[in-house]
Amino acid sequence: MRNLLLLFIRNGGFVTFMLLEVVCFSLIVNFNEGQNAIYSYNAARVGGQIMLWRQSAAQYFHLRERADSLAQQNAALQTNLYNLRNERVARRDTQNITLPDSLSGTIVRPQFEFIAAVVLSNSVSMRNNWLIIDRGSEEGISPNMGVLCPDGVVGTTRHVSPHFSMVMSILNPQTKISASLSSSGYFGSLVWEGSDPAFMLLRDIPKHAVVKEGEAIYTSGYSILFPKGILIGYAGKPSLKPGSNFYEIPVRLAHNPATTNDVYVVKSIFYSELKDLQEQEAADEQ
Amino acid sequence: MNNSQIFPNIGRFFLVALVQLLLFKQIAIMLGVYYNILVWPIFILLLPIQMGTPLIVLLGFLSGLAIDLLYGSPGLHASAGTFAGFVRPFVLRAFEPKGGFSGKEPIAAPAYFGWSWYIQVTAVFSLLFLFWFFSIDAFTFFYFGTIALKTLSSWALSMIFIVIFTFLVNPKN
Repeated sequence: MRNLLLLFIRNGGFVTFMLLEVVCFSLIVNFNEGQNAIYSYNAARVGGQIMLWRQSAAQYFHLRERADSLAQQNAALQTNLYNLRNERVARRDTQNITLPDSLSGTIVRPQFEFIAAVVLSNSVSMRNNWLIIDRGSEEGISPNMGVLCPDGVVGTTRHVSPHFSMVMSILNPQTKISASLSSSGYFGSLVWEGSDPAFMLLRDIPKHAVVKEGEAIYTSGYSILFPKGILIGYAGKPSLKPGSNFYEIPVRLAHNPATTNDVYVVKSIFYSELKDLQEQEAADEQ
Repeated sequence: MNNSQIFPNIGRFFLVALVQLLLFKQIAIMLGVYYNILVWPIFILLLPIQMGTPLIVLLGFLSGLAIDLLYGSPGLHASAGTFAGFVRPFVLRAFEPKGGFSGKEPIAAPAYFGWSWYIQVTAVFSLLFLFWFFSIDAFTFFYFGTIALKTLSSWALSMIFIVIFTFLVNPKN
């Protein structure tokens, strides 16, 4: 302790200098535009690199878990593939198939492609939550694509750079996902109220629909972003506001948004075509 | 620092800050980006010789912060002032007269050490100050050529005004 004190007294000038320079730098960076831009640019570059290192280290430690989950997904896919090969009827909805079915002799039309990506940063505690993933425009990602994880819906891409994309999480007040009840098929829009990251709210389900507590909620497929029938979560107790004709149903999310790691970006092959169609309709109405 | 030294230093600071704002800042704006006239750091140089380094560094920071208020550049002058306070003891030691500072000379002014000595000290001191200042201003050494050019042109110009200012004020303690 005494030595430390002596060290300070002997080098007090230097210590004061360093401390005050730290104060100065934070002032400069926070209140001067030019320096702030340079600082932000470098911080993003260095920070991104550090995040990549951290990510690869974390991935190494979770290899076992990820191998297990990959094996499970693989198994599920194998099952699907087997079932599809046995299916002799051409299906109208062919979300997961990208090849012509040679056994049944029918040509199936692929509607979606999946691009695998890894989450680099994530947040669940903010009012507006965002993720950053390690795929960008060079891998074929563009804004407004759905993002899924193996057991749920993650969000939609919003900003895309050549190698990274920012994904607006479903835990964002701007999110609106078309979702339907598994038992009856009634659909409504799923929103986030900005409080609990484990729950979302399903709105616009008409009150004559029968809602079973605990039943699964799937994507409806009516929006262009997500394929039909992706599990989102499970229904809670529906509530009806006085005078309203629509239920509000809390939905417990099937996945944990805080631990999302491997995601798939859904590339809708007919996105622009459908969008054009909708815009024509909008133009006709005017 | 005893009472007889506090007030001259405070007065000197307000005077140099005022002239800096009303005169040198305006002239520098007229001359363009490569010329800046920074005379206020001599306040740090003219603090009592016997003052401890941590206090000088702190006063350099505070006076720089005050100048920043006048220039609307939070932290820029403060950073350079802090640096100036830190290097002042090294500069003074480099120019120490034979037999060291006796304690009879309260401040490093031409009245005690002569004009030739004073100009040499201020030249080194303000060159260091200006180099730090323009480096922080650019905030990257990517434009090192520009930084060096700005430092040298502003240094030559500032030295003229430093000498004139010191001559008119003729500080003694």
